[in-house]
Order: sequence, then C-alpha cells, then structure tokens
Amino acid sequence: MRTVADPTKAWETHAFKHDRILTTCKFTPAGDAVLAGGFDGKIHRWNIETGEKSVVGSLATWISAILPGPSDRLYAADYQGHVKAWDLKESKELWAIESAHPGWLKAMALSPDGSLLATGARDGMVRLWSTADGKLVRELKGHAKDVYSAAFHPDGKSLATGDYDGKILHWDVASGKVARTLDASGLVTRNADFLCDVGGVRALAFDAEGKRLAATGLRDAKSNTFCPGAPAGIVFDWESGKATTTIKAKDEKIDGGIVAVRFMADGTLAGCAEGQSSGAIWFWKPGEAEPFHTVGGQSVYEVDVRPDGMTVAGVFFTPIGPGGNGRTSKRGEYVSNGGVLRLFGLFEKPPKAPVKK
Amino acid sequence: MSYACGGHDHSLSRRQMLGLLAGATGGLLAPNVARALQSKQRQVLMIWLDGGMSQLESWDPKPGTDHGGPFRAIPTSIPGVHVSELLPHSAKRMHKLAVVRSMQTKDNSHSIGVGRMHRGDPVNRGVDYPYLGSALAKLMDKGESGLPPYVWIKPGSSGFVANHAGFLGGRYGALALGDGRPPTHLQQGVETELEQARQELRRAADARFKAGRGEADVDAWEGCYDSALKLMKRKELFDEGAVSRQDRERYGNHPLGRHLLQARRLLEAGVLYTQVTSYHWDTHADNFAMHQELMPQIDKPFAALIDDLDTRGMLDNVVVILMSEFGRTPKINQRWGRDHWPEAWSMALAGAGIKKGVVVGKTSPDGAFVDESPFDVGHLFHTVFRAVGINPDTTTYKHNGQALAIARDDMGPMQEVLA
Repeated sequence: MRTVADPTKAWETHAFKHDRILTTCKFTPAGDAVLAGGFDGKIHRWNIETGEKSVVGSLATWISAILPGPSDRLYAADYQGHVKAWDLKESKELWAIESAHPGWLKAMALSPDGSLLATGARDGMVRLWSTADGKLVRELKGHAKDVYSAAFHPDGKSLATGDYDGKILHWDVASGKVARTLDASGLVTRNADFLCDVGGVRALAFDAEGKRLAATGLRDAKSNTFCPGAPAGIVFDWESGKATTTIKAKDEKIDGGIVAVRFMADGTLAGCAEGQSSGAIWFWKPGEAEPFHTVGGQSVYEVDVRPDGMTVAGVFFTPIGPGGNGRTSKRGEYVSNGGVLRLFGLFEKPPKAPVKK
Repeated sequence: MSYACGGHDHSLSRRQMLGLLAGATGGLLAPNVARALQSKQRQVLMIWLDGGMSQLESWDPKPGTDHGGPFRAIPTSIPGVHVSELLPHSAKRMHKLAVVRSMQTKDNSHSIGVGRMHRGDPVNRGVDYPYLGSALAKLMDKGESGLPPYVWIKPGSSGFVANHAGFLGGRYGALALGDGRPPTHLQQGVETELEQARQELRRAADARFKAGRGEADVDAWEGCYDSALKLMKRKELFDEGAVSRQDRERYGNHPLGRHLLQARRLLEAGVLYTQVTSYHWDTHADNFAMHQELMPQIDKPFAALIDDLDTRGMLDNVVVILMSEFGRTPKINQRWGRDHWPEAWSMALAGAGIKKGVVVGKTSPDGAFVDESPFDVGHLFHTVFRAVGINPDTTTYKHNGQALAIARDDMGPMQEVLA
C-alpha cells in the first residue's frame, strides 16, 4: 500500500477532456470522483475509476469556486455572485443565494466543521453564510479593494482573506473583527504608466497544522496588457505574522501568477501557474524558495490534492483550433478553447501489465 | 518572449518632429468649405482607446454564449438595447448615442491598424494621407478662437506632431499636450517688449527665407509659432483651480478622466478637433479583471462629458467619436485574455449630425462576425465629414496638381447614423 507521496514521481493517471475552459477543480471527500467547474457555468463530475462524466448542477456564468463539504455537500459560486449548495448523493439542489455579492465573486472558503461558508468579491466585502440554509451570518468589512482569496484556519476561529491591494486580513470569525493585517504587497505591481494595478493575493492556503499561511500571485508585472511578470508567493508564520519564505518559479518562461495553492500532508506546497505560452504545477519543500519538482503543460488554473494525498489534480488549458490575433478560422469553425482535468499519481508509475497473448 | 504588439505611442523626440515638419503642403480644389461652414462652426472630439477595447465587455455583450465572458448585459435608456454591465453610466445615456456594432476592418496589428484607422484607410495613391484631425484642420474653418485647430491630449510627452498631417504639410499637425499639461513655455509671458521684438525678428527672417520660394516649409513653422503664441495667451484653459471639485469627481481622478475634462474645456474654448488618447487597452491577459478596472475609466467620464456637452448645447455642434483600432477576439486565450479582432467590433458616436439613440449593425450570436451592415473606417470618415458639413463627394485635396479624395471613393457614409 502506498502511504508516502513523492511528487518527483508524478505521472499522469487520467486526463478528462472538456470542450470549454475549466476554471476550478476539487476531489470529493471520498476521493472517488473529481469535480470541475468551467466557462460553461456547469459543475462536472468525473468518476475516477470509470471515467464516467455527469453534470452536478449549474450557475449563471463562469464557475469561480467549488467546495465539497461534509455530508456529501457541494457548494459553488460563479463570477456574477451566485452561490448554490447541492446534496451530491441525492443530486439535489439544497439552496441558492441569488446575490451573495454584486459580481466577481472569486473567493470562497469552507470552515473546518463545514458550518460556515465565507465569500469575498469585488465589492470588498467578506460574508459568512450558514451552510445549513444559505442565510447570511455575518458581514466582514475591512478590505478596500476586490477580495480574491480566502482560507479558514484549521482551528475554525480565524479566517484569512486576500485582496487586490496585496493585503491579507486576519478575521476573528466569532466577532467579525479584523485581528491583524499581513503584508503581501509584493504580489501587486503598481506603475504610473499602467491603467491599473496588476496582481493581488490570488490564492491563500493554510497547512494542516495551521502554522503556515501561503499567499500567492504575481510580482514585477511589466504591463497591464500582457500582464507578464514572475510567479511568486509568500509563506507566513501564522503566529508571528512574519513572512518566512518567498517562493518563486523554476521556469522563467512562465509569466503568469501562481493562481492556486495547497499544502500537502507532509508540508509540501503544491501550486499552479498560468502563462502566455505554458503553465505548470510546482511543488516546494517547506522553507525552500525554488520548487523541487515541476509538472509542465499549458496554463493551470487550479490544483487540488486527493484526500489520500497520493494524487493531485489540475485544470489545464487546451487550445482548440488556431488562436492569436485576427481571424484564424473560417466562420462556422471558430470555436472556443477547451480544458482538460489531469490527474497525477505521486508515486512510482506501475509497470505495464504484460499483454496476454 | 516578446510582448510587443507594436504599440502605438506617437510621442516623438524634438529632433524627429523637426525633421517631420518638412513636408509638402496641400490645398483645396473646391469648393470653399470654410465659407459654407461659417454659419455653424462644428467641432470634433475623438476619444481613442489605444490597444483595443473589448466590444464584448462594452457595447455588444453576449452573455451566456461560448465567448461571452462572465459579465451581465444591462438594459439601457433605449428599450430593448443592452450593453455590458461595465458601462452603467453610458447605458443611461444611450438615447443620446449612436452605437455601431458592425465595424469590420482589415488590420489586426497595432502598428498598421492605428495609422490606417486615423488616416481613413485611404486607397494607395502614393501619398501619406493626413490623420482625421489634420484633415479637418485643413478642410474646416478654424473658428474665431485662434487656438490650434488640432490638439491631442495624451499620456507622456508633449510637442508638435507634424507627421499626422501627411501630405498636407506640417502646419496641420497635432499639438500634443502630454498628460493634458500646457506647453512648457506657456507660463512665460508673451507681452513683453523683448518677446515682441523676438517675434518680429523671427518673422522678418522667415519672410526673407521665403522670398522667391513660394509656399515653403517655413509656413509650417510659422503656423506652429502662431498657434503657440495664441495658446500662450490662454493660460486660463489650463488653470486647474478653475475646475470645480464636483467636475473633477464626475470625470474621475485618473488620466483619462482628467484628459476628457481638459478636452471639454478646449472644446468650450473653440478648439476645432481635440483627440484624447488612452493607452494600454490591449488586454491579452486577464482581460476580464482588466476591463473591470479599465471600463469605469471611460464609462464615467464619457457619460459626464456627454451630459456636459448636452447641457451646454454643444452636442449640436460637437461630433464625439469613441473608438479603438479594433476590438478583441471573442476566443479567450490561455491567460484569459482576448487578442486583436478587426472582424467585428463596436464604436460609439454622438453629437452634431449624428442620430440619437440608434444601434447600427448586428453581429453573429457568438459575437465573432458581422451579420448585418458591415462598416469599415472609410465609411466612418464619410460619416464624420458629413456630420461636420463636408461633402466628400464634392470635396477633394489638391496635392502636387493631383486631386485626391478626402475619403475612400468606394465607400459612403453610414446613413443609419447620420441625422
């Protein structure tokens, strides 16, 4: 039985293709299936063993976050501020929030006990919702700019949310007050020649013990058009609030941000990045700036770790037909790009079974 | 890796400008357009979003379609017409605008597209055609303000940009006001005896140089000096203290807002053609997050400007054009950006000679192609000329004895847009 994950042994176990760009993915708590949301506004479910694909539900537009929870619950949000909950076992919608935020809802996190859902959006608000019925529990005011990311501390008492301004707010969940602010302004590029800032705290994750908080994004952007910069992240010691490690990419060609990040059980950090010509899933050892292993490919928009820790999933970009400037396809053949949900085993690839004659 | 799209910042060094001032001069063949226009002096404001604003995140939203993006479409002041939710202020002024959703142009690169658009995509006649601002500076009466006829407000450097004038010659070039600031020497007085003596000496030297040379390049220089001198007497146009805080808030404290407010002041003062340029709309990456930041920078001041021109009665005289060199690809790339798309894009017009509250043209359900009423920039030039009272069918340039059409003779105006 495999018990220790080794990212250096990563090999592709599955590739589930989709005809639209996929934005996010999560394993189910049982690890038997993987869920992905996309530009089609749907949440798709792939059975890992059989490859069978089904649609769990849909929202109004691009899916921005999906979070499976205890008791076969699934929560999902879209970029227009809608939130819904489903019972995965019964394939039944439980409740819906018509307007959790006016729009651009990107940040969503589930409390460790599964009772609270935190959402954050362009309105700068963080809201806590009861997962029992979707009712508003508390409203957290403190961000001056778009809220991009959120993560509950494993103790359930604290919530971290990151914004476009490079600020991370530490909230006391019970009171709804800001306990402190962590500085991640290195993930924002402000330039008088740009029409707007580039970057922000695109992703947040706590390690299993709640001792470290990783915040990731992009630094040193060179423009607000191609937004090229250096994938980057900051790991904070949660108790002191001090930045302990600044993480970076190994591949200088990848020019987008680290847009999703997860801690594995042994403290290894897994993150994924997008880029103009390629992307990657990287793995960093605790305290190290450079990743020790890279899984390459096209842009990757989300990474997740299977509950057993032995598999990671990423949603990768898939070009369909020619791209670039101007008309590259005939009318009728002009189609959108697609996505692929790739799963990688973090263990030695088993030898191929001999072919029976 | 190259991120250069051949972006088109036209800022020129002084040396370049001096070199470009040397150009041939053109003339009107017929008729005397200036006299015909004396009764109603028209002006033009060109708002140029350089790099390419996305039509799908502005005037032609396609929510729920493959390429539509995550934003909603919202209703406008015209029943049944929707625009992107990123244009909430403009949506309320749609009844004052004419929106063309069926622009279909040729170039998908900035380096060629910008120039071609500003020059009206002329048929190749072996000459360098003038930008619209220079063309109107030549073709229209300059009015009584005495101000430079073609003022270009832009980020970056200031100076006189002669090459916009093409074969018309340097005197019809653009006076560029970097960041909307007044020319460097504006603060120096021009009423002193020393200054007057200096100008007299210059004129005498010019006259001597010109003697026997006919219409010479030095005319362009004289035109520049005269414009500068007249502008130097209008310091109040750049006095920020004269602008109310309310106006500053309505237009926004960002470059485009400040520049559009400055443009309004120049139009009020009588400048014939004012162009406001904003760079970096070329959203190849993070198109949607970027448009969330960029669109308010045009939506709010554009709405404020339309309101101000309207309440001042100036929409009867001023033609307002809001456009880019192309739109953006419906197809979303791997950094969630949109690339260059001349196949089907949108622009807006308002004001003098323009119908109010019309939406012209139609794109395919996925927004990728034009289904009805394709228009090129040649059609736009015909439309603008007509709107200011110039008939392109009977007006030509004369250059080295050759008659040259002022707009493509194989195209006509967008009749659906003309009042």
